[in-house]
Amino acid sequence: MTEANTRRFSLLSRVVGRHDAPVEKFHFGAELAQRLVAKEGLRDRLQAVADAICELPTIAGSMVMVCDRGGIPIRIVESGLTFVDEPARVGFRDACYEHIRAKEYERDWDEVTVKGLRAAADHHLFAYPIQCQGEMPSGVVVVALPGKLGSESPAMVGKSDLVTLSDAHDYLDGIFQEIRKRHWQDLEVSLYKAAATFLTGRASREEEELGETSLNVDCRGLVEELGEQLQAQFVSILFREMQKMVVVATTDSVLKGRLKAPHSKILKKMRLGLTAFVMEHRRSIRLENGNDPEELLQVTGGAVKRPYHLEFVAPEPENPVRLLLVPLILGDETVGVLRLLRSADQPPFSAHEALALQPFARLLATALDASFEVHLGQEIRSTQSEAFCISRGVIEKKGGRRYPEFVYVNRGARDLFGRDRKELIRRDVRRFYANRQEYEKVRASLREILEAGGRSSTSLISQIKGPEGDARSVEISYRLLRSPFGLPAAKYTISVFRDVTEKEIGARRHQRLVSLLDEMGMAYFRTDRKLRTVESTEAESAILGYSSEEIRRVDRGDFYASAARRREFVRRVARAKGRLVKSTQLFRRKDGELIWVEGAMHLLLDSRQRPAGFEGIYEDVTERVGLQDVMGLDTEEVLRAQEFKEELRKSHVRHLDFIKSTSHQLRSPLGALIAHLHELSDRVGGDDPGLQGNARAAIYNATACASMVRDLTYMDALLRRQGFKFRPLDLAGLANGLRKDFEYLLNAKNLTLGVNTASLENLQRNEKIWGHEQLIRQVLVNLVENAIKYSGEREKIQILGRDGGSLGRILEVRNRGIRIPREERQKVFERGFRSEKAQAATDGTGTGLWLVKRVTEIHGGSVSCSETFGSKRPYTIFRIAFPRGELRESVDWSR
Amino acid sequence: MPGFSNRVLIVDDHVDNISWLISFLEFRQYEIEVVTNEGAARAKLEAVQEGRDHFAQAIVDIMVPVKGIMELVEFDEEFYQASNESGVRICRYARQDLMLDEEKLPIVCISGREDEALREALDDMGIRLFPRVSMPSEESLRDFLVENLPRL
Repeated sequence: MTEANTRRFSLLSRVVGRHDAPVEKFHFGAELAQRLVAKEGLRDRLQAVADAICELPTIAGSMVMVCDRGGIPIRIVESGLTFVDEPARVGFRDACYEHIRAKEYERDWDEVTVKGLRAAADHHLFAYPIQCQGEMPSGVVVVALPGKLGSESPAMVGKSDLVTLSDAHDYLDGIFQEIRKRHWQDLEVSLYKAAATFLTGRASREEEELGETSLNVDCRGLVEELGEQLQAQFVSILFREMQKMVVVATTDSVLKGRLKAPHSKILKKMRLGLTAFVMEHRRSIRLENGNDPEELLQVTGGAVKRPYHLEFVAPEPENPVRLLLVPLILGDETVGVLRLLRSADQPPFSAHEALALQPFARLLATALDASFEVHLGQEIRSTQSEAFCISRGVIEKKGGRRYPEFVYVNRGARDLFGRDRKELIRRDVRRFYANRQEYEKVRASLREILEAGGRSSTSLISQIKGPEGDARSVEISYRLLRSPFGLPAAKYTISVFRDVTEKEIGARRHQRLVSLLDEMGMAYFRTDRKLRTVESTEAESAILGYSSEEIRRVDRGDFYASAARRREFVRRVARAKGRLVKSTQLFRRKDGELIWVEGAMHLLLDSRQRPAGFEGIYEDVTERVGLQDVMGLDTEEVLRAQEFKEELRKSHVRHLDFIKSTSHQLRSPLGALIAHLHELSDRVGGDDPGLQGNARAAIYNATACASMVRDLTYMDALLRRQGFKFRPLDLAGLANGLRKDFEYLLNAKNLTLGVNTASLENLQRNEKIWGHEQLIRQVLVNLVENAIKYSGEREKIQILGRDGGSLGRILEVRNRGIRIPREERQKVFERGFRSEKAQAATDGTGTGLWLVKRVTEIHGGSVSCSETFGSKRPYTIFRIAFPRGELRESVDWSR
Repeated sequence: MPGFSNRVLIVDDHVDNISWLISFLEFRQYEIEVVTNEGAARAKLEAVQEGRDHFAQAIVDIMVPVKGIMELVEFDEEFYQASNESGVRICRYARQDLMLDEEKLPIVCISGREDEALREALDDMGIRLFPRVSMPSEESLRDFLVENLPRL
C-alpha cells in the first residue's frame, strides 16, 4: 500500500471515528466495547463508514469489515471472499481482534492467512484505525483482498482490469478519495481541532472573555479558518440565546462592529430572513445567487422574498452572491445558523460542501451550547439576588501548587462578599470561605463530583466571609464546565451562592420560640402530610408523658381521649378550614390519665399550596377546668381562656363589690361610734379616770376596726384602678397628725412616736413630693400601726426623711421589737401574707403592708424592709423611696 | 355680729350617722335644725338669704334625697340618680344662686364617698369636705367644729 493511501485511509478513519464521548482511560475489552457501541453516536458513525464503504463499487473477491473499538464487527461486506461457515467468520473476526489487541492496527497487515475463506488461502489485510490524532481509536476498518490478484483469478469477476495488487490499491485509493471528498475530512479535522482548542481552553484569551467585558464565545479564529478553507468571503455564526439571535463570530467587519451590541435591532430583523427560514426548517440552503428572487422562491418555496441585507454583504450588488446556510442542530433544537458567502468569481457551494459542514455544524452547536453556560453569566451579571461566580479550576492541582481562583463574579457576588471586583478576581477562592474546614467540606464534595465524572453538585450549605468578616451561611450549587474533548476534565467551575443567613436566622428564631414555649409549658408540634409527628418539643413530652421518640412513632390519634373525640376534632378542623384557634380538647396521657388541653393549630401548605401537614401549640389546662368546677361553673362545657377569664373577672368584681359594700356599710356606724366615744370620754373627763380609761380603750378598738375598714376601702379602690388625683404632700404635717390618732395605742405600750419634722421638710425643700394625701396618710398609718404592733414596751418609733441619692427621697419608719427574718422581708408586702411571728403576736388581715407597697408603686416609688446593722436589738426599717423629678398629677396605672 | 346664731343646720337623711353630731352639738348648747332632703335644704337656704333665718354652720351630706319621702309617690330611678349629687347642688345653690358666702353661711360637707370630681367641685366653692372614707373624719369634723363654731 502506498504511503499516500495509508494517509488517506487514516484521514478517513479519523474523520468518522471522532466521537464526543468523554475520554476515559480504558482498555480494549469486550465489555467496554459493548458499552461504547451502545452509545448511539458512535454506532451511528461507524454505520456511516460501513454504509459509505458498501456504497462503493464492489471490489471483486474482497471483503470489508468495520469493527468497533473492541474489534466487534459492525458491518461486514463480503464480495467474492466468503466464509465457509459461521465459525469461519468468527475465526476471521477473532484474528482481526487479536491484531487489534496487539495494537497491530497501526501498521498494514500483509499476507495474512485467514482460515475458513472459500477462496485463496492467502490474503492481504489492510486495517486502519478509526481515530483522531492523539486519541484512542473508536474502531477499525479491515479490508481483505485475495492474496493472488490477477486477470486469471476467478475472484475478479467483472473487474478484469484489476489484476494486480497495486491496481487494487489504486482502485481503493480512488474510492477513498471520493469518501474524503464527501466527508471533507481535511477541513473537518482542522475545524474540529480549532473547536477543540477553543473548548479545551488552549486559547489564551479565554480568561479575558470570561471577564467583565464580554462573555461572548470567541469563534473568530474558527471562522477565519473556515472562510479560508471554503474560500468564503464572509462567514458568520449566529447563535440563539434566550430566544434571541446573537452573533457569535463573523469575518465581516460590519457585523464585527455589532458584536458588542448583540441584541440590536438589525439582528432582530434578521430573524425574518433566510436565517429564520433555516432555523425553522432545519435544513441547509445553498443559493447560487442570493440576489436572484427566482432562485430564492424556488429554494424557500416563497417563504423568503429576499435575504435580509445583513445576511450577506455583496461587494458589488449586481454580481451573483453565493450563499450557504447550515443549521446548527443540537438534539431536537436548532440553536443557530452557520452562514457562508462566496463571491461570484468562486464556484457555487456544492452539495458535498453543505454535507461536509453538517458534522461541523453539529460540533459547533455542541461547543456553543457548552459555552452557553458561560454565556448565561451575561444574563445574570446584573443579578443582585444571587451571587454568581466562575472560578478557574475545580480543586487544587496536583501538589497543591495552584488553587482555583475567581475569573468572573457578578454584582450579587460582590455584594455578598462585600468586595469589589478587583478584590475577588484572580484571588484564591479558599480565602473567601469562613474558615479552612468550610473550604475542605466544599473541596471534598467537588472532588467527589470530579471523580464520578459528574457535572453538578447538589446544593451545599457552607459559610463564607461576609462584608464585615462575619461568617455568612450560604447555599452553594456548583456546575463544572466539562470539555467534551478531553483533559483537563473540567477547567471552570460555575458556582451560585445563595445567602441563607435569613433562613438560618429564621431557623434559630424558630428554635428560640420553641424553647420559650417550652419554658411556658406550651407544647409545639408539627406533622407531615400523613399526620406523623416530625417535630415535637419537650413540653409536649411532659404534657403527654411520652418520650419524644415515642411521640414520633405513635399515631397522633392515640393522644385523643377517644375515637369519637378525634372524629369530632377532625370535623372541627375541616369546618374551620384547617385553622383552629383556642380550641380545647380532651387528651389521654400515656399513663391513661385524661387531661384537657387548649391551643391553636393550622394547616401547613407546601409551595404548590397543597396540604403538607399541621403545626400547632397547646397547653395543659386541666387545672383550669378543675377551677371551673371550684367556681361552680359548668365543667361539661370547657370554657376557653377568654371566657374563663371573664368568669374570673366577674367573680373578682363580685368579691370587690362585697368588700366595698361591707366596708361602706361599716364606715358610717364605726365613725359615729368613735365620735360618740370621744364625746363620752370628754364628758367623763378627769372625774372618773376608770370610766375614761374604758372609753379610751373603746376608742382604740373602734379606731383599729375603722383602720381595717379603711384598708379594705382603699384596697378596693386600688384593685379597681380608680383614678386618684395627686397634690403636693405635706409629709411632716401628715406624720405629726398621727400622734393624736395613735395616742392611746402609744400610751398603752409606753411608746413614743418621734417625727423628725425638719428632715421631712428637707425632703421637699427643692421639689415637692406629689401624691394622694389620704392614700399616703393611710400608708403612714399602716406603717406606724405595724410598728406599734411589733414594738416592745417603752420603745421609740421614728419617722424621718433622708436623701437616698439616686434612689430618690426616702421616708423611713423604724421601730425595735419583733424582727422580721431576712427571707420574709420581701414577702411581708404580699397580700394576705402573715409571718408566723406576726400571727403569734397579733391579729391582722395581711392587707396593710400590701396597701403600703401598692400605694407607693402607683406613686412611682418603691418600698423595702431592712434592719440596722451591728446591734443585738436592731431597728426594723421600712423605707419608702419617692422618685425625683417625677411630677405626676394622677396615678399611673402602668406601674 | 349680724346674723349671729347658735343654730346649726344639718342636711342628712341618715339620723344614725349624725346622732353623735347631734349629741355633740346639743351638749354644747347649739340648736340643731335637721333637714333630710334637697328641697327642704333649699327652702332653709332661701330663708337665710331672705334674713328670715340664721345658722352658725351648715353641715351637708353629699347624698340626700331630692324630695322628702312623703313627696315620693313611687320608685323613680332618676330621683335616685339625682340624689348622688344633691349635696353639691345644695352648696352651689347657696354659694352661686343665693350668693350666700362663707360669712353669711359657713358650710362643710360630709360624705360616704371620696372622689376627685367631688373634691374639685367643693374646692371651687371653698367648701371643706369630711369624707368618712379617710377616717377619722368624724374626729376631724369634731375638732373643726370645736375650733370654728362660735363659743356660746
